[in-house]
Amino acid sequence: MSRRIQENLVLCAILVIFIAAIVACMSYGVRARVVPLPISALGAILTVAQLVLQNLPSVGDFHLDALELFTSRAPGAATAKPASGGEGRAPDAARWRRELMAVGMVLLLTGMFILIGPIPSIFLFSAGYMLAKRQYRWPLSIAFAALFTLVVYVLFAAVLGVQMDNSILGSMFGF
Amino acid sequence: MHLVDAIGAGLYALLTLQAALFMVIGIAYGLVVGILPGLGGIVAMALLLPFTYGYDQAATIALLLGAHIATIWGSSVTSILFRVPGASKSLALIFDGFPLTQRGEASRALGASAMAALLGGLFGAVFLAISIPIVRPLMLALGPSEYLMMALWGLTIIATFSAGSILKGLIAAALGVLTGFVGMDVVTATPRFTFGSLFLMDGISFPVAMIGMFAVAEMMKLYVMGGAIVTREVGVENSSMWTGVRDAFRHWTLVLRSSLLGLWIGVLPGIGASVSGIAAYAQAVQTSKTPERFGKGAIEGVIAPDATLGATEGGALLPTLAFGIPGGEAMAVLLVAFIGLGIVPGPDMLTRHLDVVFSFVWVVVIASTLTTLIGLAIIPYLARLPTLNPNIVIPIVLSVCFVGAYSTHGTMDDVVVAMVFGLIGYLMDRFNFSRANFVIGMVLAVMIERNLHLSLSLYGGDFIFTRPVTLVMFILLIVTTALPFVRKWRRRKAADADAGARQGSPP
Repeated sequence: MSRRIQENLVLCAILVIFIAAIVACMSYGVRARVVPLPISALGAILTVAQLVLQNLPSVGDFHLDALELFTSRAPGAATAKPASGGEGRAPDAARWRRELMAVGMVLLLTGMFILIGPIPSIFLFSAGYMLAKRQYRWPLSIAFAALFTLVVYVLFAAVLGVQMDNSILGSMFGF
Repeated sequence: MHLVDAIGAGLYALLTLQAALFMVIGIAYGLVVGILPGLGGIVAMALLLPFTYGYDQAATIALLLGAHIATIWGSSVTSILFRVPGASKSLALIFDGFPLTQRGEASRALGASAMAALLGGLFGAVFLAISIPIVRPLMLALGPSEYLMMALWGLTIIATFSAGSILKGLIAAALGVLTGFVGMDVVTATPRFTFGSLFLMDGISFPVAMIGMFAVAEMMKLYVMGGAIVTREVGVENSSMWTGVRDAFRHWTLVLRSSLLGLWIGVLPGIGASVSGIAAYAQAVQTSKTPERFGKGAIEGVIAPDATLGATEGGALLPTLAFGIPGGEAMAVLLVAFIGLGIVPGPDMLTRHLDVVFSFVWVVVIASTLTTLIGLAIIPYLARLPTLNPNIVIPIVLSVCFVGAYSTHGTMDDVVVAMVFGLIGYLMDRFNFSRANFVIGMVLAVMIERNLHLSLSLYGGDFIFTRPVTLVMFILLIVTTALPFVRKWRRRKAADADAGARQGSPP
């Protein structure tokens, strides 16, 4: 999928959000919608404008180069990035795979938090991550994860007094 | 409160064991987080937000602002040593900082960087202190309609100066404002955008949204990047950090100019630190008698951005505290924390709570000094730092993000909110929608609505035209929003005319 198609899809999703907000605003009283309605309408107009502009090859985007503004230097210099281990390292297919894995990782941790609670999740996640990445050998990974979990427990449960026993499994089994 | 009393009270509030401890913890934590690429000051502060409840106000300010100031120098370290900016604001330090490291002068570059940051920070603090008595009468003369215009101006100028498309910047700001309206409307008691959810009635928690938007999204970015964050060959070190310290004093006019630039950029809402480093570098090149040395390891190329970055914070605190308009994304996070602490920016800050404002000034002074002292102490070790690995960073930060989100209210709903905002933040970053605009829009939403309601009630529906100052600000808002579009159009027209003339001329 080309970058332009991806950009168009994202803008369409944003447009849907603004339109949904406009529809939702119509059910509120005049005072309740006095700001959200114009903002939603403005947002929808801007999104359509961006959609049109980015699909017209003759019209560039409204990009303002901050360096250019401050120093009257050639445009684009401020955004030039050095070669680093940053974005663009992975080819497209590999990048997609890694992005899906990143989303999966975040979803997994969220699911674990809800299902088994924060403390067991932190231990399992950090140990599992380091084992999967082969960062250390397994005894060291588990020791590291246990130490980190202990630090989190002390900081949040003991110092801040946060109740850490909230989970679906915990409430099912009466922990 | 009298000014002199406030200065004393501001310092006195920080002279507690808790405040001192919190500041040292904040600075140490800020340095570590700042040195890790991708984990800038915003991530550092977002992760600290759960720790800001229930503690002394001054101690919490010391923790947050101390951490933020330390991250600024921490991210400079990564730029100088590894050629990877610790945060976008320290990008300019790569240009000459890394060549210095390659020449075996990492210690000198770090010494100059630390001292320039301290001098810039002190300039920023002095500016903040001096500007308070000047701004105070001005603020007291402004009404809700002027505050409304100021918030709208802040929002549009933020979008104008954001990286990439202006339209995308404005779209992100609009989305942020709408997100700020989620929950029960306090004026009309109408639940808005809650979809029947009781949890959303209270609105989306700002700290949780920040954790997701910045910290979770950054961890996703780090994972997608893959491999070691940075690695380098540690060469032979043949310089001293004291040479760098002396360099900073030797180029005192450059430090002064760069600090003034930083103050100016900091005061303008939305432009913030990411631009200031680059602008400082550009002015250092332009004012140098030997500009050809830049890019090859000129120490001025390190001093200028660091002095500017140090001073920007003092400047950015002024609109944040005085008007409630954050100078940038980091100030937006600070603003969220202040609101959580019961600090309401606005006229009250400069009248009844002047001591709190001076606590900020003192924190900038003390934290800048401590950061430099700690920095100078660890430079010999930093200069030999070979690698930074994400395989340890990701599980630690992600776990702390989620447990931090959970701990704000002790509910799993907040973990889900952090996750959702993490995904949104990642997508926004991927498709160049400014996350800073989104967050600042979210923070300003309530201010915009409250001041609009007040203006309508006090001055009637045509308040823009009946209040001269409001009208002037409204015109300014339109002009500053339209200006980049006009400039772009003119440049395009000139380029077209130029191309046409070239095609028409004989070969």
